[in-house]
Order: sequence, then structure tokens, then C-alpha cells
Amino acid sequence: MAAKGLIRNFKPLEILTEEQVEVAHRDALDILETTGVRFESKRGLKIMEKGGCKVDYDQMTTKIPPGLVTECINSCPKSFRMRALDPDNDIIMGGNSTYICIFPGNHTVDLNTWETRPATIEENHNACKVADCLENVHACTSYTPYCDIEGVPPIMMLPTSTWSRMKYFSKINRVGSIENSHIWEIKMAQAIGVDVWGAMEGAPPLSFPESSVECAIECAKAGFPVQSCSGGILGASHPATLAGGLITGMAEVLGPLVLVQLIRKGNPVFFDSFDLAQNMRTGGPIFGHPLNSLFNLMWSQVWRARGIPTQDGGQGASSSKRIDYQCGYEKGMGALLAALSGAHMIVTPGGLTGELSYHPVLSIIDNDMMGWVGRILEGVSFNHETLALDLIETVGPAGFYLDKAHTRKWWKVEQHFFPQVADLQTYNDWLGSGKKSTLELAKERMEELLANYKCKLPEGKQQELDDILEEARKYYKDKGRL
Amino acid sequence: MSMEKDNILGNVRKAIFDYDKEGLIELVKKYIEINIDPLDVFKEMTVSIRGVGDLFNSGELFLPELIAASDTMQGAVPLLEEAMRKKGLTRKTEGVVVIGTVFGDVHSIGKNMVATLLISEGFKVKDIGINVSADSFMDAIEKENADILAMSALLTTTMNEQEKVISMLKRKNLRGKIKVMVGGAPITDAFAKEIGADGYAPSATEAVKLAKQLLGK
Repeated sequence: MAAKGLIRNFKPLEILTEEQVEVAHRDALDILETTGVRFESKRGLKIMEKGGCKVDYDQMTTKIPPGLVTECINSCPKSFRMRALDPDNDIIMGGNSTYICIFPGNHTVDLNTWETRPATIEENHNACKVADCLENVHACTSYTPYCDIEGVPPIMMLPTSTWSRMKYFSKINRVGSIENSHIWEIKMAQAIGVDVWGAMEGAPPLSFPESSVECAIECAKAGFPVQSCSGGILGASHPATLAGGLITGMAEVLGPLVLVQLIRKGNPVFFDSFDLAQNMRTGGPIFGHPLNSLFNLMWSQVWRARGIPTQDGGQGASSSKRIDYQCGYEKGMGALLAALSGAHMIVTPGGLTGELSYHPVLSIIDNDMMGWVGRILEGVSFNHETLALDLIETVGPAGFYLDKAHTRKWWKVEQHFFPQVADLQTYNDWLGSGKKSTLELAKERMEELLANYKCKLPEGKQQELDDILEEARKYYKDKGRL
Repeated sequence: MSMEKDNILGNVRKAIFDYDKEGLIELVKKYIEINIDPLDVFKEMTVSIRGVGDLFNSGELFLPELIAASDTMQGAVPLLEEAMRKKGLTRKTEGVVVIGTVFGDVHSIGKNMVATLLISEGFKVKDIGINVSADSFMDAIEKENADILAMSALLTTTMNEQEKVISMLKRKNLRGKIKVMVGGAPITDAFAKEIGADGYAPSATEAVKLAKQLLGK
């Protein structure tokens, strides 16, 4: 068994012509051959050189011949499985499935004042537990739920975050890459016998820090999928135009793909898009902007043409500081378009205020939203029985369908999505039940989920994770980083 | 002569508002050759860049224009400084600021905005770039005889570098001679106080106010 995810039963939305897809691909190969990418890792550069790429060790750049890129693309699997603690939570990337990841937030947010603050470790555990219970959450990226945990020094943030998730989130996890944090995160995954995927996150344009390259190398060696990330800001670290941003981002993610295939031919790779519009007044990125969605629509399309699974990482947060109408439309439209684009993973639930905050109450509301999106993806069942021509003739004008066997059978099939916390009551029932808002209903749901939460990790394994975290602490202490 | 001077300064202003870096460099070279007072040219550049900053603050111009105007002016600064040095002239500034993004962090947009607005308000700014080590901050502070150190960090993983730099200032007995201001997305007023900075600004405009306040302007 594996997690079903959201299943799309119709063609994805495509906004480029076939010719434009080929032009973008050709130009990305041209960038790799003539400009190259920068890997700030001698170890990474040596692998590239041995594989037939030109390397300039002074500039730390590598130029990649188009033939090698094509060969490496062809050696990547179009679909692959990632094992979770519970096999029912395994995910199979590729094809017409879309899985959902929670979005990272730096801080937690007060639901009354909307001010943010670092989360406590208990709040981090609880946010993991809530996410574990949500049927439309299948994975967690690194830095999630919170990046800034009270009392945890920044250098210990990623090992601590992964430790918390491995304990209280039984689905699929990503490992990050800050000063070798991947060593401990990979070790934790191996200790409990699950797959993780490694992030090779860039410092755009066309540049990857050492730790990021090291993370990809070690994950590939361990046989874990590697996610290569394009995260440019349009007009700052990528060209201001969508088309220019696209080909820069494509070249950016292909560099790591070649690196991974040179280390271990056939190792799974998928591509994340995190390209965002730039706020030309504040200098920060704009979350929830239509350009972000347009970029991702192109991204899914160009990689579908090459058989590489994709993630849309940038639709998870709203620029809004509150869980309000702006938050709803920015996240909802972004998530829907990402799903329609055919992205295989979408990073959405829980994130607010750009990447500044996260709240499990919002993850519960977003879980409903992703269920809504999932129902759209299922599309329409269109056959003799669902057309119901005979029944329509039988009922005739001014008839009634509620008492028919066809209705009893089909309403559940067609209408099976039912939100858990959205308010669908009649007005009078709403008055009678205390006039609660969706936010209040989601808060109640969170308490209920936490009260009934059962940890799936065997007790002995908990101790192993604690020991690995302690090893990490000692490692950074010995290096003078703590 | 006054009309000629007005024309010259008008050309300087036009080059900045046209973001014509090469044009401004050529103009400045020409004015140095014909012995125009470099202080007058510098003053006009500062007034012009302040005009760009005002238009940015009022919403008529945006970041690309602000950065381009600053870049245009910066192209001509070394020529004018050299000319002033030869004539034994000193430019009066609001203060000297060394600015950079801390080690491990390659984000530059916020830092560039702050640098540009500080220049527009008459500060001498030495921008030492991104991914700056504590040692490099020390070198620049001593070389420039800086009044203010401004540090940027966009990541939670790099914000502690700011504390590291402040500790090094203390070890080198420089802390009492310089004001330290910090900024960046994850930085808060509480964090600034915790690491011993003199101030925190949440935006580029606020950073300029803070710099003036720290120097008693």
C-alpha cells in the first residue's frame, strides 16, 4: 500500500506550446555549457570533472556538455517510491499523483494578536503530531514546522527539527543542509528504517553552497532521492521575466541532477520550484503573487516533457499576517493552480506571513482546502450510468431524485469531499451552536487531534533518535559551533 | 561661470536620474581635467541621490531605479575621492558606515537598500559585500575608521554571526569606538539587545533614522 495522494484524472493545465518547451530546454542546456553552475565544493567539482565536465577550481564553476545532461536526464526514474514508517504512508512520486507537504514557518503566531515568536519544542512536537493526523498531508520539508525553536541554537536547528519530526510525524521527511546537518538527519532516517529525500538548495543564480552539495552527495550515496531546488527571486537573483527566470532555474536544477547521476546512476531526482516575485518596494519576495503560479505552471510542464517529477514549493504561504480572506485566496488559488499544473508535490499547509510563521490550526484549515483541491483533480465520472439518461426520463419534469437508488449510490461517490472544519451549517444551526468561526472550529479540532494522538514510533527507536541528536550536539560543540 | 557651473551640475544630476554610469564617469573625468571643484560635484551627486531616495519613499520610483542610481553614483566616487585627495580636500559627511551581510549569508538586497539610502543622506558608506567574515569586518572598520558597523543577516542560521562579530569587536577593544546596528528578516529588537548591538531597524528608511540617532544627528 501507499498513500493515495490527490489523483488527477484529466490533462494538466499547460500554458506553453510544445515549441516553447523545447526552446526553454535548449537554452537551459546552453547556459550549462557556456556559463555553467557554481558548486562551492571541491568534492562536488571533482565528481563533475571525472564525469566529463569542464571545471574551474578557482571560480568553483563547472560547465556541462549537453550530451551528458541528456544522458543523465534519461537515467533518472520517472517514478519512484519513498518508504515511510507506516507503509500506508509511503509515497510514489510521478505519474498523476500529487502529494502535500507542510510549509515551514520561522515562528509560531499568536491567534489573537497575530504577533510571532519562536516556538517552544513542545509546540514543535505538537505541530508535527497535528500534521501526522491530517489525511491531506503526506510529507514535511526540512525546517518544518518551525525554524526558530526556543532554546535551540541555530546550528542545532535542523538536526532538532528532524529529530522532532521523526518522532512525531510518521510520514515522509526531507533533510536539509546546514553545516553538515544532513549527516545526523540521514543517520536518524536509517536508524528508524525510513526514506528521506535530500535537498540541494541553491543560492541563485546558478550557485550552490558547499553544505548543499555535500547533502546531495551523501543522500545519493545512501540511495535517497535528491531534490534539486530553483529558488530565485524574479528581478533580483533571477531575471525579472518569467521566461528568463524559467531557463535560469532549469539550468540551476540540471547541474545537481548531473552530479547525482554521476554519483549513482538511476538515483531518483525531482525538481522544486520556489521562484517568487520580488517586492520592488521592500526588497522581499511576494508570496501569493500570480507570477509565482505562472512560473510553476511552466515548471511542471517543461519537466513533465522530460519525465522528471516536480514539486511546487512556493505556493504555501500567504503574504497576509493573519488567517483571513487574503490568506485564503492567495493560498487557495496558488494550491489549486499548482495541482492543475501537474506538480507531484505541493508545499502548502500551515504557512503564513511569507515564511515567517506557521500554525497547526492553519494546517487543519489548509487540510480541508487541499481536500477541496483533490476533489477538483478527480474530475468528472462520465459514462452511461453517471449520465443517467434513463433515470432522467423516468423522473421526468417536476420529479424528485432524493429517493432514487441512483442517488443513494452516486451522491457519496460524487460528493465524497466533506470539509472537517469549514462551516456548512444552516444559519439557524450556526446561531444555535455559538456562531463559531472556521478558526474556532479548527482550534477545537486541534485539541481533539492532540488529545487522541498516538505516537507510531517504537519506544526503543525514540532512544536511538535521542542518541543521534546528542552525537550531533557533541559534533558541533567539538567544532566550536556551540 | 555660474551658468557654466549650473550646466555642469545639471549634467551630473541628469546622468544620475538617467542611471547613466558610463556617462557620469566621463563627465567627472572631464570636470576634473578642467579643474571643477570636486566637492561641488560630490555635493550635487548627494543631492541627486537624495532626490531619488525621496521619489522611492514617495512610491514614484522602485528598487531597480534606487539601486541603479546608487550604482551610477558609486562609479564616479573613486575618481572624485582621488581628485579631493590630490587637492587636500576633505568631504564633510554625516559619518562613516561599514556595511555587509554576515558570513554564510549571500543575501544582498536589504543591505544594498540601506547602503543607498545612507549615501543619499550624506553618509560615507563602505559596502564590503556579502558572506563577510568577522575578520573582514574588523579590517574594514579599522581601515575606514568607521563610526557605524551595519550588519545584515537574512537567515536564522546566520543571525548568530552578528553576535560573533560584536564579540570580536570587544576582543579587539573596538567596541567602545563604534556603534553597531543590525537588520534582516529574522532580526528583532530583542535579539539586537541580546547580542549587544546598539540598535535594530526593521526597514531601510528606519535604518537611516537609526544611524543618525546613533551619531546624535
